[in-house]
Amino acid sequence: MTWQVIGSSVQGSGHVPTSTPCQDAHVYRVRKDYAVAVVADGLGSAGQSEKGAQLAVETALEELDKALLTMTPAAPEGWTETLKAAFDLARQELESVAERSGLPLREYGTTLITLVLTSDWIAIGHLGDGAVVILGDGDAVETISAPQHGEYANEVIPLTALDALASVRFTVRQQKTKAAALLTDGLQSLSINSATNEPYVPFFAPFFAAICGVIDTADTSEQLTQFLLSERICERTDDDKTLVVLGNVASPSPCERHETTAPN
Amino acid sequence: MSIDFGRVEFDTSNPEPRCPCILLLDTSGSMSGPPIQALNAGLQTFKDELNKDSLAMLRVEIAIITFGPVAVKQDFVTAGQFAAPTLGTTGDTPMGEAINLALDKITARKQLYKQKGISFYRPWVFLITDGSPTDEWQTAARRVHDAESQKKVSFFAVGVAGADMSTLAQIASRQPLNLDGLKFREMFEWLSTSLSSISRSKPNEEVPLQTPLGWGKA
Repeated sequence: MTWQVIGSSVQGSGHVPTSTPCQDAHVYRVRKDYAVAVVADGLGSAGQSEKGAQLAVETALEELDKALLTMTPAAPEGWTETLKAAFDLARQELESVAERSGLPLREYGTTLITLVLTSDWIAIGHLGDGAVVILGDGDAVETISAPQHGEYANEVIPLTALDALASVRFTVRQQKTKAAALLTDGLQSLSINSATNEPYVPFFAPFFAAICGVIDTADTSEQLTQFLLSERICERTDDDKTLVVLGNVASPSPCERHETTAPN
Repeated sequence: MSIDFGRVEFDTSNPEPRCPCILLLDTSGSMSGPPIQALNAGLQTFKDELNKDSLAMLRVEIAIITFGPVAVKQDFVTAGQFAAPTLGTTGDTPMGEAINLALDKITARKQLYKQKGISFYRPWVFLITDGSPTDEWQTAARRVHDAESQKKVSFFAVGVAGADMSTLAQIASRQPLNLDGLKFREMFEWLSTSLSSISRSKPNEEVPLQTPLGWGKA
């Protein structure tokens, strides 16, 4: 199994005039047996949220990677425990940094989505808005983890909330997955139906088609950044936005898809 | 192989999130003359100010209930479609009934949003009066307090000269404001600015309301 990942987080056009930093963050790692991707959307209301988002994604990634290097869970319960531990540690890290800085924990408020793909499992932990959309083995495009929000449009439960860990939603399935996309709130209105949570397939199809073939991931991630900053997108959404796309390369041939020499 | 970004299409069917606001306006006999004229001019200002903000025009929804007698002068419309009415004055001040109707309309509106999958911001009710309730208002007051504590609504009360401020203070959880003279224009500018800010707020963003500088005092 060979995994490919591209990803980018860009600052929203609405944040540029006020010089607010990009409060989205993403990280990913590809191993022989699995791929991990984590995204976070730091709350606009929280002064240190870009740090909170960055710290949360890095902590969750390292914790998941460490656990999975030792052992791959063989049952949904095991996956849930592994994901839960990553959220738990990310929360603890935010508590530590808040304590060291002398600032209230809520200043580091952020959403968090973690995704693990193996050849036959998909496991997701999800807190807050944003979504995970997949291309299944039968080529169906599906929102596997829909945005979580409160009664109001401007209400989510951040990782810094009192009831955060109890609010994380886990989705674990034993199935083959060809590709997956993680996105933050800034791309939601363009790609997901707000009434039904159905994915808008023409948004995802070009990404899924490309990621299942061999691409230059560094180069494509750079193109993704330009796309997310383009006029076409910015006239529709002024929020920070992140997109990470993972794919299972159909014909794995490690020497052919070496990143620096990949054909375009 | 690479991604043809030009072929990435966007879902354009998603409705804008809505920010509903009910104006609860006292049009009893005592408002006749300069007060109602200033209120009508203020409503026009409200419309003009909202129309300066293209996002607010799509997202802010306005309804107007007058009393008395209690009447829905304008059912919910987006700010872009709102036309400022010219209100006349008549009758007494059934404020309790008007507040109850406003809270009922908010509940029904939320139901409709949920059915249609439209996301929304916390609704506002903005009460303006120059008098004292002439009907039973205690039930309405309890409902306002419950709705505020459950974050179901933000309820603001403004008293024009002659208003029974002590009763208003019992109805609203937030401290009622005294309108300075007939500065409805300035008040509606403030209201428009506040709704514009809320209608573009991001998750968990506390929208700091500007002090009612230049039109009201606690």
